[in-house]
Amino acid sequence: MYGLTDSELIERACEGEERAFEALFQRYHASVYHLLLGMLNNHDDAQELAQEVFLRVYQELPRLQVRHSLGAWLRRTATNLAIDKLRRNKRVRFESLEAPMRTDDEEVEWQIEDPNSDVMAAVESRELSEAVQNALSQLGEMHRAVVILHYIEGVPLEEIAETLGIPVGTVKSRLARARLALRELLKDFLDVEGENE
Amino acid sequence: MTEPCTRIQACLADYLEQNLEPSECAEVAAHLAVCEVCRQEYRRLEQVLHLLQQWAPTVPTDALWQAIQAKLPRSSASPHRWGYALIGSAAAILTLIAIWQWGQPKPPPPITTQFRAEPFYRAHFDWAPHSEAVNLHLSLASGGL
Repeated sequence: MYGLTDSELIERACEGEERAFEALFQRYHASVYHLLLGMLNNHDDAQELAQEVFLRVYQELPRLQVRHSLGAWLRRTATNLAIDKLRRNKRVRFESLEAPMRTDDEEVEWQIEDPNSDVMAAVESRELSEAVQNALSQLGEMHRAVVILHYIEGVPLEEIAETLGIPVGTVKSRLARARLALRELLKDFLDVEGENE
Repeated sequence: MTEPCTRIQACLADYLEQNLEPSECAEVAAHLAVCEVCRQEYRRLEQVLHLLQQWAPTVPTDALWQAIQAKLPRSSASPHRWGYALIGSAAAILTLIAIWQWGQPKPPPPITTQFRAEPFYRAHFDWAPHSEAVNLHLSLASGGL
């Protein structure tokens, strides 16, 4: 099942084969989720919209047969849903490392372990991940979208332009401004010789 | 910052992504080899892009799929199958009707005199095809009176 092309999976899913739809989900869900999380900076919102993206794709399956890129369709749908939601909310929540970590039934403090242990590496990794997520959340929504699509999802500039309905030149200029902003926002995590020492 | 530095730093991202023409690429490389300021800028940019590319938060795959699966129309699930199911049901019903009709006893043969009589009288009473005598006989033959 997982060796089939998107078109073959779409065809089988249209015939009601749920495992074919699940295979499409497995193929694209991480990319869709990362895009939404980067845009919304909130796991619950990202999960809610990721569900909506895949339910929409399910409804659109018969019409998707004629399209050549399911990935592009998913990215466009996810980006538009995220931008709509951001415009509705105009509020972005941020879960800081300073805040207690919440589990299902209790709150626990973050614990910093032995610097040599794997746990420390994991914490550093999580800290970096949060720093990137926080930096992304501080960009304007359209700058955030181009950065996530291009640098995280590896989408070509032309496809981003099509997805967002803007000229390629605008995508380039937004990327340039976003890079400058990110360089400032992430400067504490950059290790450039002669700096941060 | 010197004029060459401004120009070089404007194309560092394209240089990193290998989007420059070979001649421009060589120019940037030559400048970076001699300019510490631009070299630091290049490293910063490289690290920012590296951080972005490494960003891969955990994805709640199982929870996400279960939530989606619970909202899919139940099964034989696909809404697109309803059309096929409807057509299939109609075809089955029509087939059953056809089989049922085929199995029914055949209706009694028609009264043959009616069909024989008419040509007979047409042949022998052409001079008065609609005379009362002929009509009466036809009615008697078909049991009409």
